Amino acid sequence: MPVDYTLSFRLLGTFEIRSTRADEPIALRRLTRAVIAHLAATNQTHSRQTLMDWFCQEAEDPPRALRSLLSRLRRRIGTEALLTEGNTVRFNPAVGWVDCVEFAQHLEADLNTLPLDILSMMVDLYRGEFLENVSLRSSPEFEHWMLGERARYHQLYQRGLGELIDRLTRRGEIDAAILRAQQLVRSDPLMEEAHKHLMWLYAHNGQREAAIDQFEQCRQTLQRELAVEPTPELHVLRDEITAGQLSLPLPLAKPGSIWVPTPPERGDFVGRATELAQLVQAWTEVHPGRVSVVLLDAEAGMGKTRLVQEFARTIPEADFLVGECYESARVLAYFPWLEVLEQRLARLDETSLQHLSAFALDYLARLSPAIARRFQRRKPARVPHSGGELSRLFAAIGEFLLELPETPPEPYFRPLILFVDNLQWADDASLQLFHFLARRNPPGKVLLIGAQRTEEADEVSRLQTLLDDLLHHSFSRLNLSPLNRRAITELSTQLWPSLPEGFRPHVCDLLMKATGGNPFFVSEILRELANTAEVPSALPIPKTVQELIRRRLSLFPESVRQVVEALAVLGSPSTPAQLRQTSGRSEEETITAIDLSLKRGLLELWAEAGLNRYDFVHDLMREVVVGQLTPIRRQVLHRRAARSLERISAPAATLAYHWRMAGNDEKEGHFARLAGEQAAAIYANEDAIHYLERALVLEKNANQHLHLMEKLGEVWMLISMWDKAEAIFTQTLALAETVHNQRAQARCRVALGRLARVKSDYAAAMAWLEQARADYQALDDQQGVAETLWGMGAVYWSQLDYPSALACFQEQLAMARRLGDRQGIGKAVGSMAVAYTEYGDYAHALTCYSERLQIDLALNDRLSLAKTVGNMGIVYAELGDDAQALVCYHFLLRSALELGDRQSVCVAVGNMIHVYTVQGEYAVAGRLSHQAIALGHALNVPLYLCEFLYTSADLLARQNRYAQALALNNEASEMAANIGRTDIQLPARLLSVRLGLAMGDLDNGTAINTLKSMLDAWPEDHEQAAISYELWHLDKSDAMLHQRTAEGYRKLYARMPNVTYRRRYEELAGEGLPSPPLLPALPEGIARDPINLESLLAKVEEMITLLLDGSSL
Amino acid sequence: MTQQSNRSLMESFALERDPAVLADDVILHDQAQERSFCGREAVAAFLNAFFAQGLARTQTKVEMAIIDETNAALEFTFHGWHEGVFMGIPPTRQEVNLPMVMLCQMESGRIKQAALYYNAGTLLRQLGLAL
Repeated sequence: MPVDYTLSFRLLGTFEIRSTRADEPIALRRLTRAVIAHLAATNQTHSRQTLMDWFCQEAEDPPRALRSLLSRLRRRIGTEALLTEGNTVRFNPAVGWVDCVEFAQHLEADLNTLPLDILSMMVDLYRGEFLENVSLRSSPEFEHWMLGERARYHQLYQRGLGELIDRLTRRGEIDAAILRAQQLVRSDPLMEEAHKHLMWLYAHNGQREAAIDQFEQCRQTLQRELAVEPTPELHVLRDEITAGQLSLPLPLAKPGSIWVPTPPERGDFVGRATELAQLVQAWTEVHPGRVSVVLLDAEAGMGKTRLVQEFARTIPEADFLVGECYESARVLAYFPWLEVLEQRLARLDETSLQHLSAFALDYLARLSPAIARRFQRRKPARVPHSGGELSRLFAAIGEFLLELPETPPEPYFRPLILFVDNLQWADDASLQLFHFLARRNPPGKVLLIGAQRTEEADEVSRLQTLLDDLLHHSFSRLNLSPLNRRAITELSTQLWPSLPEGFRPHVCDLLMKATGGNPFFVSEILRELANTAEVPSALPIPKTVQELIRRRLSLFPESVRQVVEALAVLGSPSTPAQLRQTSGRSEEETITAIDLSLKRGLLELWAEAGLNRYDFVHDLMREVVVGQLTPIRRQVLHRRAARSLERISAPAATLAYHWRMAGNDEKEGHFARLAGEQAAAIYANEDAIHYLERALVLEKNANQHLHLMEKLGEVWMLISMWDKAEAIFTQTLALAETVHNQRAQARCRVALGRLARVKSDYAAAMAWLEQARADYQALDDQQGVAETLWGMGAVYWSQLDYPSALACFQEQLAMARRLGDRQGIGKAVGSMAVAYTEYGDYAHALTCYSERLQIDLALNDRLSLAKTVGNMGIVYAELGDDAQALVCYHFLLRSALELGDRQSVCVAVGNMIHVYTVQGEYAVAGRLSHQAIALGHALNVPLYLCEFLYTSADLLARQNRYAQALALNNEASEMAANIGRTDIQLPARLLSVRLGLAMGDLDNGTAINTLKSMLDAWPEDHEQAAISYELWHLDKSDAMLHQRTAEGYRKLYARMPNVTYRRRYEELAGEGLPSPPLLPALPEGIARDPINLESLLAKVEEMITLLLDGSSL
Repeated sequence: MTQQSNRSLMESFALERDPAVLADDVILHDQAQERSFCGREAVAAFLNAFFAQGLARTQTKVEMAIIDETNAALEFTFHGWHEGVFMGIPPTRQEVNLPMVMLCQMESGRIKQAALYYNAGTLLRQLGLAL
């Protein structure tokens, strides 16, 4: 072990970990041994999920079990030995030396460049089989990995030994070479090449007896294990050594010789541990005397071939022969079997072939030119096809493949795995031969594997007959299912290792959906993503995948393809009727097409609520189908799809899409308008804007244009995009004037008045509303007049002129009641309630709110209901019921977020600042403050923003963050002065005095004088009380002031039971006041669900981000 | 260090990612990917890989900064165009607009510890590589 390491891991042979700090090896339990061995030997990063899947499968709580396992490991081998990073764990190669890692690094490389001493050292690292005494039956994944690695290291050991023996022999270091050759024989006593080399070395070293003994040892081993004699070549060598006439050349290793094995492949074989285990299990059940058969079913790309190849790698003692069927070669008789025969021929030596019967040779030579050449026979003119001739041909093939001993004269029947791939393309004769061989009784172990593509196999009647026949015998059937998400993740780790781990789950979700878990598709796309120079905007569909899908489609009859194309154009799961109408095929043809597509794994059934619909098994299929349609065909199919979907009243948005793709502007315009209106009605504001804008482009009629523009303006207004709303209403007004549509003009002016009010431009607002009222009066439209009255009331309210506001609302209410306009009544009473609240007339306010709530609920007006409840929250807050106030604000916030009403979101968040502040929850209040200010700025609503700036300043002052408080307070004060909000100006002035004192900018005397001077400027009772209260705090010796202030608050409270007045009176007078009146309960359902404020605020943050980056609507 | 000097330190870090403002033993936690980087060199390399490599015409807009004598919280939006290999992902030519938050602890005029928060799904969706 190099000196820099504190730990050494010996995994080649018996498991052992040693630390430089202790004499004894570190003792570990079975499971921890397996885990650390895996981590150390792989020297890779492993996800916790994979480790849990491998090692904690049986635990009740796998994450916990893994944590405990890793913790135990750290305690035993040191914390620094494991590197954990997020969800990944790896072994720290800086602290631990691992024998097999170093061993493989050297022996997998070019051995020619390896110095002899290093080569010798590496070979000596191999003390025995990899993890000799480790086993973990509970984890098939681990066992499979360990067995594979064991074989790999063993092969490397033999490779190293072979090279070492050669070099030592060449250098004349015969004694050393003999020692190494002995090791090689011990590593595999059945390896005749090793025995031969050792015999030669003994003989060359003058140890003739030892050479003869070695021959005997080889002969006995082969006899005992395989019941065969050594090769004739070995007999000749033995005879020459006995006679003292050694003539055979030095048996140096050559490329491809037995002890220079090719390093095993590594790659992208994932998610098939279960299937591999099933094949291994099938192999254990194979016995001489009977051919075992396994049939693999899977759709194209599922990895049948790869699975069998990997399986064969785990059975190195068996001969693995493969015959591949090709679609293009299906007319060539015996095509796959010819491949098999030639492979078999290449592996048999002349002596073995001499045992082939003359009859078999004759028939085989007719079939295989290679065999004919080998035996120098003339190629016959005809291959038998039927009757007795055919039986004899099959018998000959059977003899050649299954019954010919490899090493005569003593028969040795090497185990055999015969694999025929893509049986669905096999010619009839090949299928018959498959069937024939499946029923043989061979002297050795034979496993016959056939693989077929399920989507095509059903159509091959011969293949079905074969399977039916096989049913009479015993055979296993294995179905390869799609990869699961875990396997896709593993595959992505192998094929796209540079992708950061944090990104991987997202990409794998996408791949899962796009490919349906088809390993070929996943692999190809991953390779494309990992190696492409540029990723296309949509998920790349590699050419190989496209070709595969196209090929699959090309196998269908024309009528089926048309139905499949119809489904691709329809774009979502579709009923047979829709498919029939869109494809233009008959009902019978459509049903047949669906049946066939289901059978071939192209489509899957979506059964919902008694309705059967069909869709592609994965999205790639749809994309490829659509991609290969000509533009004109696509247009025709979309037109049919639109007509079909119109019959079932499909959503307007879907119809607008199909008509657009069909190139019908008129129809598209009609459905885009409907889609826009439907979206607006459910507050899907972004969709509404999209469709209304599209409808505007297509609409030719001027009055329809006006209607669409107004709708669009309303949506812009709802989401507080004031400038866009103003622009479109200005345009609409101009158009309305042009076409002399006076009613539309009036509506636009009302909207422009509302927009001016939001921007606190009250003069402009009033001017627009006056004009609108005149328009409506000219039209004798009472409802319109009432609407303008409401707008005017709102302008007065914004200017804090509550009497005028109330008068407007009352007049509007009277008109609405006369007209029986419930919506108008609701609007009026809701606004009156707000005005009463400002007066402190809570009883009237709540009466109005009750009526408003009833109307909102009756009309199912969600937005209005939310605003009403939000406004009721203000009443609760002013009466001191903070809990109920928060219920209302939460409800408003949740509803406004759902409906996309950004201004109401801003109001809800801003109103909550004060409540959380007085409750001392400064962290929440601070977050709300940040959001309210950000929204206020983004939406440009100074009316609300100045208030939120002030409450935020107050919050900061309570946290002694005076400088920041002062900055916000100044901003609030300036903004309030600009828009005339005296209700904010005064508290902001008072706060600035307090902050001046706290920061040392003002002394007590100056502060008192400042406050006294304010008394003249703020004459209202509540203003006087507020200023006096601040004064009293600065000079508590002034008894008159004290008494006057207390009395002021008592009177204020008698008029308006505001909680601030009550608290201040109690503070000043030291006695209580009557409790405020009981408030009505909120309607059922408002506070029923618990509110997750955190998630709501996260959504607000998202909204702010969208607003600020300018990319949103 | 004063609040003001910390503010300029943070600005120089957020806008220019100047490694000089990092302490020698700085630790940065990439919370979205649950990984950490230790030491100035490793952190600077990560920041370079994230904010500079593969993205063109980048801009960082600080939305909010809360900074006192020892701590700083920055909310910012990272904007750019994915035109090179970014964190192992070949160019998609897509626009990236990623809201991020960085929390920092400062000591002796250097950033001692930082935690970077963003939504990896948002980023990948913008690149067309997530649902």
